[in-house]
Parts: sequence; structure tokens; C-alpha cells
Amino acid sequence: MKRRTLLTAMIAIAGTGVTALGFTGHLTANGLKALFSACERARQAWRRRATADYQSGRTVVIDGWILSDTENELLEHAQGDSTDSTSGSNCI
Amino acid sequence: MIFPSLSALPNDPYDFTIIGSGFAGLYIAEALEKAGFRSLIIEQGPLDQPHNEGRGYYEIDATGIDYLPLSERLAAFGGTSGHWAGQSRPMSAKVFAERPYLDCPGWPIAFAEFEPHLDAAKAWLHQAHGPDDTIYDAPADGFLPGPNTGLTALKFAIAQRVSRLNGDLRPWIETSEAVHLLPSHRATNLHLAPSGQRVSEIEVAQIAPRLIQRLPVRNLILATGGIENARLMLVSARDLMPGNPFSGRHGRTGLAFQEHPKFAGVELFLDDNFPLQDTVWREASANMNNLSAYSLDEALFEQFELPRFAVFFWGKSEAAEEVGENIDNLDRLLHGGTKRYRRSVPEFAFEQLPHDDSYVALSEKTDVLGQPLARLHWTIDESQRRACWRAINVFSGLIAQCGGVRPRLLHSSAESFLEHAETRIQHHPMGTTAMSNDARTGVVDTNCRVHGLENLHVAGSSVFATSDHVNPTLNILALADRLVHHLIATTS
Repeated sequence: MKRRTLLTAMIAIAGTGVTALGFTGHLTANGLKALFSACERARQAWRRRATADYQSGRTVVIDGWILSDTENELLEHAQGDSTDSTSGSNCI
Repeated sequence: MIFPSLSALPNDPYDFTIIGSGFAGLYIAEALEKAGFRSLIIEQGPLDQPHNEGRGYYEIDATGIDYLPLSERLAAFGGTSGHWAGQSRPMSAKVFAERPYLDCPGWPIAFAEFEPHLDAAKAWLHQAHGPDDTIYDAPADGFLPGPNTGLTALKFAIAQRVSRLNGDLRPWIETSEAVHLLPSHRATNLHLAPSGQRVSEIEVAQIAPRLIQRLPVRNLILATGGIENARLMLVSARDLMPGNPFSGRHGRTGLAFQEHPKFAGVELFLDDNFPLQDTVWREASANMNNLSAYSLDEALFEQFELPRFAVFFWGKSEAAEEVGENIDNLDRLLHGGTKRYRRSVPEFAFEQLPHDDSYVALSEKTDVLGQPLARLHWTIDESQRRACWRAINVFSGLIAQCGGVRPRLLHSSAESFLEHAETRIQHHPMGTTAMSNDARTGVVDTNCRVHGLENLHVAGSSVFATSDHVNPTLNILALADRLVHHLIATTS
């Protein structure tokens, strides 16, 4: 739940940033650069977490795909928790 | 020298009679010649590789897992090795030791008793590398699993003797004074001396025109292959009481047949920059000296209680079709956009753990000489299949750690794998006259001598107690070298 809360917060921050920048009309080159940079930092953080998951065996199998727990959480956010997953380390 | 018929052979008895002119038989004959012994090799096939690959004389009746007719096996001078692809790697020391977690007792000899013979075997095959395992590891370029990934890169040296079979062995056999070859003749029966402790004669059938004669023998070596060695012994046991040495004092002849089963179990979706596929394919196709494959770090086999296996990438990867909404969404979130993947389906090649419901027996069907065909009942028990599925899962999970590759399992569960996975064969028949200290658990002793018989030895993969996942030829030759040393030391 803690990991999930963090993930939700990260997505919310990124979304809020976009909204704020759009509303205030400050979508300047520097603003866009900063936004992309923030997004890339978020993606890097997720990729690092995904890699750590794989290396620790924190994986699930979804439709045959071996995914890290982090990737699974991202998917659940993207799809509204509708994913049918089979949990377990490598599903052995 | 080559002789056309039994009647043309010299009258002097040979020190050794060898049945089968495959690599084991030829290796032994050549080594015995150097030690001053005279040998006769009886080969059921002709001198030249026949177009029909000898099927008429070497069919089987398969009653277990579908086993293709022996189109991969040759009844001719040089035997099956006449068209062998030639990748080699020594068996690991791990398979010689007992592995309680697999209920596998291992070999009755230590790896240290086997390893010294690898040098001679590799030299005979003209392989580029020595037997030191470290030489095989670490491909020169491409995908090198890191030290903490749990994965290991393997290399298989390629033996060069195959292409030279007729280049140097043929002139040797044609001119040798001490090694005589009798092609197109088949040993059809072995006869015991009255003592019951020696083979005194063998029955030999001339293929055409049909003629059956008896030939006295001093020392006999069976080197006819993983199925035929057992079949000939079982045929010879038909008219004898149970407990005779041909059927095994305890009826072990033919049991514990092993293959190297292959399964597909996962498809890998590779980033364009992931070097795995390129390396393996390039090396395998363009430079057959460096065929790469992958496996696990040694400690993981025990940790996950797995049989030994290697993972091969035989074909070029193809551009993957759509990977689906989930993966596209993930890639957008993690990488800022969807990705293009190449798809590859690796092949997992396993060792088969010996079990008695996998065996060679005599069929009611007969061959062109009226002899019973070998009935091959090849099975893989459920515990091994489950272990294979575990191995596929472990490998797939570990390769996912490396980044740049997404694995998708081809089966949803172990049960699905058990029910649907296709078993492919490698035409590596092994076991059936297994080596053991004890006649209750094997057919030959640690010197490859048949329990209970003074002068009958067996060479070839039929004596394998276990096999690792590697091609048998190099290891057959190392055992043949060990057998020759024993024969030379004990034969006056």
C-alpha cells in the first residue's frame, strides 16, 4: 500500500504540474524542458524500481508476460485495477 | 584393411572384436592398434554412406513419445557420426555426483576419473579448444550476463573430425595391418561359453547374399549405439534363463533410456539494441567454432532443484507483431513511447534423469533379417516435466532482470505445460546398459565390462548413468579412451 501511495503521488504530481503550467500560460521553452525533465526523472525512478523488483524476484505473470510488481502497479493505474493477474515469484 | 566376407578373413583370431564402426569403435580400434593389438570391426552398413541411411537394417518400434525413425542414425562406416553436426562440451562434474534433490545417484565413478580422458577425446576430434571448461565460457562479444544475473553463457567447441571422416579414417582403415573391417555384416547373436562367464562366439549375418556364420571371439566390445547395444544383448538373452548376463543379472538391460528432450516454453521480446540474438545467431551460422548458448549459474540448479539445461537461439529473431495494449502502455509510462521488439523463441535442451519406465525392449515386429526390432518406450516422468517448467520460469525471470528483454511464457501453468508442451528429440539415445558398481542397478561395471562376463565390454552412450545436457560424442570418446586404457592394462 505504501508503494502504491507513492506511485499515486508521483503520477498526481506530474499531472498537477502539467495542469498548472497549462493554466498559467507559462508553456515556454524552459517550462516544457522542465516538464519533460520531470517526466523523465519519474520514468527513471519507475524503471529503477522495476529493475529492483526483477532482481528481487518481485514479479507477476499477466497474460504470460513476466512483469515486475512496479510495472503491474502502473498497469493497474492505467486500467483501473481490472487486470487479471497471477501473483507469485516467477509463477513457479 | 577391408574384407568383403567372413571367409576372406585371416584364420588367426583377433585380440578384440568390435561391433560397430562409429566413433567409439574406431577410436578404440585405433588406440588398440597403437598398443600392438589386432582388432576386427564388424559394421552392418556399407563402407560408403548409403542414400537410405541404413533404415532397412535399423528401424525401431516406438511406443512412447513419438520418436522419429532413425533418419538421424547411419548404418555405415563412421556410424551416426558421419553426419553429426559436431558441437561438443564435456559433461559437468555436477552430474557425476549424487544430486539428492533430484533423486539422482549420479555416476559410480568420480569426475576426476573421467576428466583426464577429455584431452585425448578432443584431440581425436580435432577440436579447437581444450577440455578446460573456462575456455568455453564468455562469448567474445554480444550478450554477457553480469555476475549477479544468475545466468551463464556457454560455448560449445565444434569438432572437426566429421568433415574429415573420409579424409583420414578411410585411408587408415584401408591400409591398417592390425585393424580389419568387415562392412555389410551384422552381428545377430552372442553366444556364451559353457562356463557362462565368457562370450565364446558371435553370430554374424552377411547382408547380401544372406549368409549366417559363427565367429569365435577372444574379447568382444559392443559399440553399436545407445539403442542397438541393448537390443543385441536382449536378442542374445532370449533363449537363456532369467538372470543371464545379457539381460543383466537383475534384468537391467534396456532400462533407463535417456534422451535430451527439448522444449519451447517462452518467447522473448528483445529491444533492438539487445545483443543476445545477434551474437548467438551470427556465431552459430557464420562461425561454427563458437556456438553460444545460455544456462544458469551452478548454484541455482540446486537452489531451484532443476535438471541441467542449456538455452539455444537457433533462428534469427523476427520483428514482433503487436505486443498488446498492456506492454504498449507500460512502455509509454516507462520509456515515453511504444517500442519495437524483435521476437525469438529459444529452445531449452534438458538432461533427462534416468527412470525405469523409459526403456528399450524387443518388439514383435522384425527387421529385414527376421530379427526383433528394438521397441523404444521413451517417457519423461511428471516430476521431470515439472522441473523443466520450473527451469523455463527461472530462466525467463532471470533474463528479464537484464533489461532490454521481455519474456512471455507460452503456457499459463505447469499443468498446461504438462499437457500441451511438445517434446522434441535430439537423437541422442543414452542409458540402456548403464554403468553401476552393482548389477542390481546397472549393466556394466565401472570399467564398462558387463557384470558377470569376463570378456564383454560396452562402449558408447548406452553406458551413461546420466548425461548432462551436452551432446554425447565428446563424452563417448572420453569414456572410450578410459576403456582402452583399462583393456590395454588388463589384456595380455
